Amino acid sequence: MIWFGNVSKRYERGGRLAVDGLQLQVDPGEIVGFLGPNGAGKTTTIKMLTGIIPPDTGEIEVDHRSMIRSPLEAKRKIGYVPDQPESVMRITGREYLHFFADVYRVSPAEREDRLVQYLERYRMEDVIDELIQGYSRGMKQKIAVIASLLHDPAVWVLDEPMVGLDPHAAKVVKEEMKWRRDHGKTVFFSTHVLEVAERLCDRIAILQQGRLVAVGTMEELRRGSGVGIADEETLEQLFLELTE
Amino acid sequence: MMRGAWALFEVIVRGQYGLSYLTERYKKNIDSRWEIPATLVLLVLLEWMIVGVYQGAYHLLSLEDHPGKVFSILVLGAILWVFFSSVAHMMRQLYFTNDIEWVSGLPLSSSEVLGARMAGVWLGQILVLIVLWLPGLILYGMQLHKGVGFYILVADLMLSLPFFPLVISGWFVLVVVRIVPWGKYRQQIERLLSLLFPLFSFIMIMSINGFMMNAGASGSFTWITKLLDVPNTFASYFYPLHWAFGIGSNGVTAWVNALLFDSFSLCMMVVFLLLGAPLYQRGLQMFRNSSGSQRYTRKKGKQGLRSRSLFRLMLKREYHLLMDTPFFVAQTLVQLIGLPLFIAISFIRGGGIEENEPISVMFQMVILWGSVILCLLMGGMNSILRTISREGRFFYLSKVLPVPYKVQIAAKYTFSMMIMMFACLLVSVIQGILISDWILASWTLVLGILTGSLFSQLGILHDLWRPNLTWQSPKELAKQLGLGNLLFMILSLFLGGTLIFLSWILLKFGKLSFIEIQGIWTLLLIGLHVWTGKGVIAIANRRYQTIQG
Ligand SMILES: Nc1ncnc2c1ncn2[C@@H]1O[C@H](COP(=O)(O)OP(=O)(O)OP(=O)(O)O)[C@@H](O)[C@H]1O
Ligand SMILES: [Mg+2]
Repeated sequence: MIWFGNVSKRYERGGRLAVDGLQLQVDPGEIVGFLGPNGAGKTTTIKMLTGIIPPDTGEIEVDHRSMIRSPLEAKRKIGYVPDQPESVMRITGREYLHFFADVYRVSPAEREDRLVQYLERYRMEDVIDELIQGYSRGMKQKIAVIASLLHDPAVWVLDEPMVGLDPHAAKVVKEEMKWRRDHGKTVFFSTHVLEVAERLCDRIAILQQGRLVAVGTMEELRRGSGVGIADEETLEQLFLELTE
Repeated sequence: MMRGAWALFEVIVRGQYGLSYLTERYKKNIDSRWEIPATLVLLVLLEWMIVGVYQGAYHLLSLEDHPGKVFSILVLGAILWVFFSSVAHMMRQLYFTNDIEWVSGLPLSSSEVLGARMAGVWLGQILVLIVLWLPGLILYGMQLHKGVGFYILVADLMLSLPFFPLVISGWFVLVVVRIVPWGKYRQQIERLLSLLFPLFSFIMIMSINGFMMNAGASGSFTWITKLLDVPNTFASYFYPLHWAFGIGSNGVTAWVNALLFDSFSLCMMVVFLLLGAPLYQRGLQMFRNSSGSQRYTRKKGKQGLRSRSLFRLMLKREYHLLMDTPFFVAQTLVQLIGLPLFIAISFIRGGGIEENEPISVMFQMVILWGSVILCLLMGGMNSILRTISREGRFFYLSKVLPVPYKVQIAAKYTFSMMIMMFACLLVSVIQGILISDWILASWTLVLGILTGSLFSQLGILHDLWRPNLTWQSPKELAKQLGLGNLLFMILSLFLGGTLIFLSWILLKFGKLSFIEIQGIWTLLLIGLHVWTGKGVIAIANRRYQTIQG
């Protein structure tokens, strides 16, 4: 479960709000897509959710643990795929994954199991012992995805996960999202690919200049918009209307 | 608690110290295996020189007469060294690495992160201590015929000695970051801070220098006695230093002192990790909030709108490649200003050369080539050795830009030469002032520029041959530079030495005059240029195509 309680964030004193009074809940067994134009504040929201930057005001809970008061416990519940997969260190993919397993305290048996399974699923066996530096963008993205899954997190948070993935890997990620939802986990991701959001998400949240302008199922969004030709309206039309 | 910190430490060591990188490279291309023996040979050479310095120092301090005091000086020197040299490293490690954001999303407490990062700095310091200080300590043990126990304690000291100075510099950095108003002026402040270490070392060297000179004035050997008392003065302000110094004594006392010092250091570190963590956390947050704002608001100005010649544009690009990274600026400045200033000041305080004595031709020659070597060391080294690597991950731009490689190389060469020429000018002016022989000084200028130009070309070739375009932090690049720098130093010393020797032969057996000899060298160097100039451009052109950016 993810819960944002009236969260606001301003980067510079006196500057404008990057996130403005965000109120949102994502339940277990649910995939929620996070949409919005460039600079709407999606990444900022996700960084606050994962504890990378603190919110100015408001409360954030992950699986009933406060990110502000007990950040370590909350962080342990999250698997996070950042928007820029630039992995920072000159280490090999395997070392990187083991680091994550260590930090998230994955037992050796589970670690081996999952590692083999995910490496095969994402077709990374061949390059896993090479330096991450030499990876292509998609490979970096895949390594980040695998790293975020090793500890079987209750909450999976992805920032534009589809960027750079080949069709096969993109499909695997989408399947993974569905699988996790069906097993009672929470999935929250931002994207610009509206088709993916439309087909995959149980609910959709649209952010505009730091404000939540719409949240609900496709059905609810269509009804709420009040404009369109009801059923026929695509998410694209909705999105463009809402974020005008 | 320990596991997460250990994992982070491991990753820092593998990543920042290039362990994974090296193993991978070693596994992959067998052809570069000769680098390992080459590095070892250079290292042995370096150690041999260091041992020589220690031998001289022990002789000067008459080690046998007061072994305890000499040991204290060694230990105190190491502690001060670690403190001063770790401030900048710590700052970078704690706040400026680009994995900051990545790490802060992980379920690691700030104590753990602080601990792992401290451990990373600690390891680096140990390596430096082993290279610079261990030979001295071993020589000390050998000259005094110490037993095995001494060496065990020395090994222990290598590990525990950095703790205490690191804690001090750690507190210093944490507090500085908290009280500095970041925000708008972040870049400027970063620039200033990177000057801190050079500034510190400079003040240190100057004060030691001044101390020796002052003491020297009052009698030839009193300054040694004064120097020998310095550690005790320090220890009287800070008692635990007695324990560190006591490790050099005999028998059980040494072990007791080691035990006391180690536990003291450990306690300091633990307290630091516990109390410093919240401070670190808050500093990071404040820092992260203001971070990136530069990215969004940086003013680009109106440059680039006016059309300029390609060459000038490229030259300007070189300028920015150097100036926009505070670390590179600091390095270049230290090289350019620090060394000559130090020499000039020692010279002036030493009273200079007796002016009425006529200088022999041979002596002139030595001064001349000594100054030329100095020019090379000042203007060369870091700044011209890494003209291509400096571009780092943005090297691809050089290949994409619609500018002939020749023009780019020429810009790089010209920029290196601008630094080099500044160095030559500085050296010759100082030389002129010091020995008031302006003809000699102008020879220095001419020959310095000519040799400097050769070295600039060599530097470009060296960097083209194996550039490092994947560095993450400038410090990493600087560290990698060790081998190249050493080569450069040895080469310039070798060249200077050879030319002095040849000049001597010409003087002695050829009966040529000073001007004739220097004329020969000048013509020879100019001739060389005609030959290398074309070659370098051709080779560079070819290499540019094959480098993978
Ligand atoms: N480090 C920072 N410093 C100052 N302002 C920032 C910083 N990061 C983001 N912002 C500002 O906050 C706002 C939200 O940015 P954010 O990155 O969250 O957008 P986003 O929705 O993720 O956009 P995109 O779709 O392009 O990824 C933007 O106006 C941006 O300029
Ligand atoms: Mg974003």
